[in-house]
Amino acid sequence: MTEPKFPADLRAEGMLWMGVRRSPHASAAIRGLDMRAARAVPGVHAVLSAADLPGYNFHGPRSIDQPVLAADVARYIGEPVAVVAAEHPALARRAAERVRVIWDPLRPLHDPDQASTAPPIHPDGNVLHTTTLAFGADPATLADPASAESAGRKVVRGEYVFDGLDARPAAPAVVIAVPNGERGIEIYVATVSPRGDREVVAQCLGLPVEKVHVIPTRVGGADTHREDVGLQVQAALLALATGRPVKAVVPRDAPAHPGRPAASLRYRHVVGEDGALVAVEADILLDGGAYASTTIDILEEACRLAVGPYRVPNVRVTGRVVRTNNPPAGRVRGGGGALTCAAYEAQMDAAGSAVGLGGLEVRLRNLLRPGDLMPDASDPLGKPAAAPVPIPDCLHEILDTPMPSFPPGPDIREYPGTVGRTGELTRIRRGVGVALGMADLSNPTQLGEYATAVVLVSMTPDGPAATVACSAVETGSGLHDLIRTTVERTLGVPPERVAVRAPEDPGSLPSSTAVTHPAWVHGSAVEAAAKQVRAKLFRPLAEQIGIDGGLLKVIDGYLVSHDDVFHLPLDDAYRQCLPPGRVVRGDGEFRMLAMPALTGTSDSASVAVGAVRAVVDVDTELGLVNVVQVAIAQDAGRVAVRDRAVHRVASGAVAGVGFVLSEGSDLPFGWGEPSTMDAPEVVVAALLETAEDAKEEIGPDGLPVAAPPLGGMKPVGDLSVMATPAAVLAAIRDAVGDPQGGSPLRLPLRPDRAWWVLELR
Amino acid sequence: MSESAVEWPAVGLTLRVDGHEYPVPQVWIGDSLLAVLRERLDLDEPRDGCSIGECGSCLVTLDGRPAAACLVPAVAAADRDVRTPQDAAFEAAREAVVAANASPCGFCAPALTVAITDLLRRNADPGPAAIREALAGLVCRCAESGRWIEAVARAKEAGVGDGGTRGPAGGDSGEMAVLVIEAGETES
Ligand code: FES
Ligand code: FES
Repeated sequence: MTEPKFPADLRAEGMLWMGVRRSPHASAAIRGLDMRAARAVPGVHAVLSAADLPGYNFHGPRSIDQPVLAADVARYIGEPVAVVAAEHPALARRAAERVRVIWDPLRPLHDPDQASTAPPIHPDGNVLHTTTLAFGADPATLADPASAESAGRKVVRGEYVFDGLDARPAAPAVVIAVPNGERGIEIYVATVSPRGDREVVAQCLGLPVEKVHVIPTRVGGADTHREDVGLQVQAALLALATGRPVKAVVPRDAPAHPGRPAASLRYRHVVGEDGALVAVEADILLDGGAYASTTIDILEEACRLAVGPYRVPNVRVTGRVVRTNNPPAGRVRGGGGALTCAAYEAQMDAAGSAVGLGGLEVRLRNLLRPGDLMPDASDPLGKPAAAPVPIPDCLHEILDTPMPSFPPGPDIREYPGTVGRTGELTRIRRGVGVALGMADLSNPTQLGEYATAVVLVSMTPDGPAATVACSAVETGSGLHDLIRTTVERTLGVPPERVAVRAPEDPGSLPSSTAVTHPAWVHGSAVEAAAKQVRAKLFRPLAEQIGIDGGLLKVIDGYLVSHDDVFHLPLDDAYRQCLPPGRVVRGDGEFRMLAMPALTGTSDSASVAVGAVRAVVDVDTELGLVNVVQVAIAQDAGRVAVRDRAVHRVASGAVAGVGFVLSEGSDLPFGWGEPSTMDAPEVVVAALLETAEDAKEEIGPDGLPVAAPPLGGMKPVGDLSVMATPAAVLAAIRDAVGDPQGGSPLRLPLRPDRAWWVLELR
Repeated sequence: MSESAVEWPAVGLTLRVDGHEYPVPQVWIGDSLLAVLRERLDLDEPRDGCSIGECGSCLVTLDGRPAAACLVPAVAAADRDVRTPQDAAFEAAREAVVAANASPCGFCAPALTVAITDLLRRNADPGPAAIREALAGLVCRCAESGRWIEAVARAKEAGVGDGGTRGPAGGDSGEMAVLVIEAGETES
């Protein structure tokens, strides 16, 4: 089996290279374009601008507000204005440079705080979305010094500022567009939603959908969110204009795809003498950048997860996401919950020291229990959390994890500062921090997701073998392993004899819109198809004992009836029912309804919780931090492929370390991620399987739909990303002797901003 | 001389890659070794992660020393011994990387195999700190370094680096293996 290729590895006969003329201004009107010098460069076959786009110039996952090519105004540094196709990348670059743009620079809007009052930088205005979630009494009155003091309450304020973060994968953003005569245009791209992309591309090119074929390639980066669709349109436009294949590679110094938005969060916690939370007030401001992208969803998620896994009777959360002249932001791993977790956990530590109980004790006294309310706007009364919330178990697991020895060394590379040899043993302090986190699985702004799958089973000399055709794209997160395991569980076919391939023509299939819960949606479609195969295949046996084929299950190498009366070794069952040459086919579909529909059917929210302990060594004078160890335990619902899940959780912890210590979209090339020198030892202490059997319901259209708690599946990749920064932060405070927390804080705490050490001390 | 030759100076050269000789006509003098390996010789490995020497994805060896192929002008690599991750010398390390599931998305796997092989040739028994240092120049977004350390252990077990000849013995010297760039002399 040859490995599928990354888009950058695809080459075609006569292929041209795309070059892009980008805006050097954060905000500037375009008064004119002169392409003559660019066209005169040898080897150049086309130079095109927005005026050459036959279809609609705008796209966007939520609001359709982002131009494929800026036409009259550029709104961020690096925004594409014109594209060229040439025979060599260097010629394409040169031609792009020679596109003359007559700019009229405008005053850029960079500060999200000023966005609401500044003149609009886009016809849709500067405020992308606002939201308010509240229940109980207004926290402001409870925090009023007069009444708070008389009741013996403490009020803890905190302000947390997060830089934007450009978490781009190691694999670069690449698209290849190939014109193919009558068939139209083929686009090869690392995408996980070919169907959605196809519709947008067709609309922008002014082509019927059937003429556009988006073919997913291998995806680098183990994540579900990839290239913005504008790049596909640009490459396709050039390919159609020149009649030749065009390869588009986004260089590392250009904005490639949205990173996490910069954010500022203001909190006020009111806590009683006994440590019980009385009220929480939070105000969240996100910098969405120039275009909306998915930041609206991030805001909603951040607001719902603003309080954390705690019971609070009075809550008020206000959120805003605004437009600025910064590069567009969007969802990256951890989503909105990664922003709030670091903040609410710092608040809990501050509350703990304010009432003299300590952060851990205050957390334990306020743990969310089934039935407690979430700060959910869709229902003014809030939505109760569904069981289970196994935080105490998670806490035990991480606290039982053996501590790494102290002091570090003697190898200097184990000190903060590593090979820089700047860490000094006399200045190194160790700190330990614990954080709890919560992911909410039923986001009310969630769009519906849908997937189909076909499973074929036939006999080979080695035994039964299966082929799965589905649109699940393997990004390195283990989705195909999960699918093989699903087939094994349902049909008893060993994973090495299960082939997973893309549907024949993914562009024409009603394949999938699944992006946010790929494991669950695709996994369920495959499971449904495999179950259909099982029922058909073993029907003769079922008939012999007078039951329906659907009542037979595969358990430990046996075919077993629902009542356990019938038992037959699986090998025998296959021998009887699957003669060589027979192929049994099953079709499966799965739909997750849009969450507003789901919340109508259920009045409980499904949450996944976890606990993280971080151990750090800090050079308290230079602000150098070495995260020695991160231990994680979390509620994983139902674990399909344990090794993959463990890896996913562990890599999330590394991403979390980058988020709190080293990353930032101001860094060149978007790479401030921890190297192997900076990455901690990660201990995945426990993945708790809390789900009982997968719950399934039949939706109004007869398709199986999932009811919370999501058929038992919980996304394992996000929790460690969320809670690791909070734990590292707490550990740093512990090391430098500032257990109160709650002071204004700007993340990440990079060494080039070592002043934070002074501020904390 | 035509105008395009002035604007587009190109030369023919011969590359020695994984033991084979490849004459490559009309190479632009600004092209990197990486660009020629990938776009002209159609090799998927080394990978191109950044083209500017930042990510380590393009790791190859040049006369036995590791080098970032994107920073080596193709003309400077002519007639030198270029080994890509697909060379048989890296086979055992590659298997170790797969066995440890050290590169879940697979993008960084080729560079990782070269880096691991080079490390074990220099240092037959590297400790965790030496491993972390040797691999620090590789950008990877999806793996966790525990798996990389495990991959090194497996590679060592499989005999990678045995009989290694390069460098001072026990060369755990803190030398950065990954981004050693040698342009070398060009033949005139
Ligand atoms: S491609 Fe990134 S270092 Fe060469
Ligand atoms: S595994 Fe994806 S870049 Fe390393």
